[in-house]
Order: sequence, then C-alpha cells, then structure tokens
Amino acid sequence: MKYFEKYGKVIAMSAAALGMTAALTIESSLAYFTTYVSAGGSEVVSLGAQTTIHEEVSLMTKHITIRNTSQINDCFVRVKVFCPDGFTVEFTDVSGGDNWYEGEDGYWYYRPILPASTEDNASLTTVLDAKINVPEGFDRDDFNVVVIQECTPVVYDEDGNATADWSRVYSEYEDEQEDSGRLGEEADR
Amino acid sequence: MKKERRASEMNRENRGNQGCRRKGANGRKVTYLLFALAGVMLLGSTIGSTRAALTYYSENYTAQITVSQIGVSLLENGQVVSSRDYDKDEWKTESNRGKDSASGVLLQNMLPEDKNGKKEKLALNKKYEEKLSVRNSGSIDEYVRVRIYKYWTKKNESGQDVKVTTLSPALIDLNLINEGQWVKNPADVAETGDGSEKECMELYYKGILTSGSETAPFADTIRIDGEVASEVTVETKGDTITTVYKYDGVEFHVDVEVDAVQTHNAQDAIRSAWGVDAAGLGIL
Repeated sequence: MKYFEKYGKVIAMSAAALGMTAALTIESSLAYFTTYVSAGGSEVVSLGAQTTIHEEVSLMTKHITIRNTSQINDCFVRVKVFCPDGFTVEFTDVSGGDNWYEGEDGYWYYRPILPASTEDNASLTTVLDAKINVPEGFDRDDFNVVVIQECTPVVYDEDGNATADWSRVYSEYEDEQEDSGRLGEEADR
Repeated sequence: MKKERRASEMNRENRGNQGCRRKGANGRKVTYLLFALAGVMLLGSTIGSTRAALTYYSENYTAQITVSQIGVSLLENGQVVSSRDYDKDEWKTESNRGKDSASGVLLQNMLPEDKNGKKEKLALNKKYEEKLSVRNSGSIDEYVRVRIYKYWTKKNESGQDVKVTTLSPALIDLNLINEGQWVKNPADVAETGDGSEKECMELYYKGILTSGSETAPFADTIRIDGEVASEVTVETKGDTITTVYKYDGVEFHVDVEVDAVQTHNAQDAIRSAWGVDAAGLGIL
C-alpha cells in the first residue's frame, strides 16, 4: 500500500501519457481512399538556323542565292544591296514567279519558307538578279556593291499561319561561357 | 437401566436407516426424472431440426457486394495515358509506357508526321492540340485535383539534363480552359499576380466526379512562345555574321499529376490527403 501511495501519481501520469500517445496513433492511422496517376513529356526546341549567301557576277549583274545550311530548322530570308551614291540596282526574280518581293524598307524578301537542308538535298532560294547601273560620267577604276542576307526563325501567328517576325529587337545577352564581351544587338540576322 | 438405554438407541438407529433408504429412493426418482427430461429435450431438438429441414426454401441467389474501389485515369486527346485503380484487393496500374508503369508519356504525338513518317519540327508560337482531362475509373465517387509542372532543361557537357532556371515556365503556354470547373489554387494566383508563372500549378475540380464519368478538359492546346528565341549573341567571322541563340537546344517539359480522394467525410479526407480547406476553395 505504501508503494502505491508513494508512486501512484507517477503511475497514473504515465498511464495517461501512454493513453494519449495511443490516441494519437489511432488518429493518424485513420485512412482515406486515395489514388493518383502521373505522366510527363518533353520536346526539344531547336532555334539555330544558319544561312550562307552565294553570288555570281556577270555582265554587271549579281546572281544571288541563299542556302539554309541547317539540317534542323526552317527559316525566312531577306537580302539588301548597298551601292555607291548615284548607282541604281534593278532586281529580277529569275524564276519568273513572285518568290522575291521588295519591302518598304529596301530589303528583298523571299516569300516561301526556306526549309532545312537534308543530307541529300541542299535547300536553296531561287535566283535573285541584281543588275548594277553605273551612272554616266563615273570615272573610277573600281567600286563596291555589298549584299547582306539575314534569316529569322519561322514563327506562327494567332491563326496558325507561318510568319517571319523581322521587327523583333533582341535583348542584350552576354555569353558568359565564351567571355567574349560581345553583346547581342538587333539580331534578326 | 442399561438394557433399556441400549434398546432405545437401537430403535433410533433403525429409524435412521429407514429415513436414509427413503431419501435414496427420492434421489433416484429425481435423477430418472431429469434423465427423462433430457431425453425429451434431445428428442424435441431433433424434431425441431427435422422441421427446419422440411420447411420450403427458395432457389439459391448470388449476391455480389462491391467494396470501395477507387481509381483515376489521365487522358490526353481522348486516350488514356495513365491509370491506377484498386481492383480485387490490389492496385492495378497501367500507362502508355507499358503495363505496371505508374507514369505515362505525354506529348509523344504532339508533332504530326509527314508522308515519310518523319515528325514535323517544333514551330514557335504554333498551337498544338493537347486536350487533357481526368476520368474516374474506380467504382466510387471521388474528388480530383491536378498538378501541372512546367520547366526547361538543357543537356550539360556530360550529357545530363539540368534545369534552366532563367527561362520562364510561362513560355510553355499550356492553355487552361473550363476555369469555372477547374479552380486554381488561390495561393498560386496570389503569388503570380505580376503575370509570371510558377513551375507548379494546382487545379481543383469543382464538385464530385462520379464513378465512370470524365471531367471537362482543363487544357486544350500547348504553344511555345517565340520569346524563347529573343536572346542571342552575334558572332562576326570575316564577311559572315552569325546569330547564336542562347536557348538553342533547350527542352521544355510538362508533367501532370492527378490525385483523387473519396467523397465520404470529404472535408477531412481532402485536408488529410491534400492539406487544403476544401470548403474554403469552394470545391465541395
């Protein structure tokens, strides 16, 4: 009896603690019916179209073609011809169609998508002829006519039509890995 | 005097023997009576069972009792991508990756094939069909939620996929629809008030998804924003100027998880399973 009088409170408290712990266990063991499923997918985004320009000159005419050397990405292309003051340039779409058209900004745009090249077949535009007219009285031995070409990725508008976004001004980006210090500018080239 | 006392004692003994003999006879009577009663009862019980055997009984009927079997399936463009159902005391998982695979594959038919069986190239800003919905493939009603993860990865030099954290998940434009039935987690909405988007979004289906039925789709198209091609560097080599896209070769990912929980004691069940206040979300 003395033993119980002495330790009775401790035993009661221990029993209560044990009971509460057991009660907690009961609570957590209450289970609900649940289930789950999952799925995932991915796709690579390839952006880097690359184009090269090919020129042949004959009879004061540049025969211009552009090749898409990328084997992955399609693109749109355009060219612009710079010549000295007083010179004029006449453009002709050699294919006779309307593949090439002149924009308001002086660029000549190739209308179709220039598809990526395959291993067997290089992807080329039709020929655009640029005939240079030398002004009368021009007495120098040589002069420069510069042709630049640019490409931009194929993007789609809200209606799902393929389009070229030539107006995009790219944000500045410094390549950290190359540490070249070059900054991207306007860059639909 | 002694003889008289002796005589009286003998008389007393004789009387006692007679009483004992009478008591023994009574005891045997009770025993026989009880034995007879037991016999009658035993007989009675036999008769009873005979009666039961003779009663008319109907034909045998088999009653099938369906226990609670919860199940859920994820559908992409009408096809089951992945399902997990409790059936006959075991979990039955199936996906388009194969049987017993709990995780299915999305986007594997996103890019259409040309005549030669070659897949079309992914075009920026183009909308591709990606209709996602949920079906209750179990035998009990349930509440459903989906979690959508959108993120970018790129292969590092050792060929391992590493996350690209500088590209926004918002550039992966999974067009969410039926927003009246699919409730966005208010916490996600509050956090993305500036127009940005979290990597993980939660959508809760409003109401009970009954057994065998399918939800309205929560997404219908997917589009990669052309903005991903906006960051470039320009390299000049001789007469050639080349633009190098910062994010050329990145891979976009869309992962979807679907969770289902019982409708019985829904408030507590949802709080326990998902950790949210279902009544507060307005989905009960």
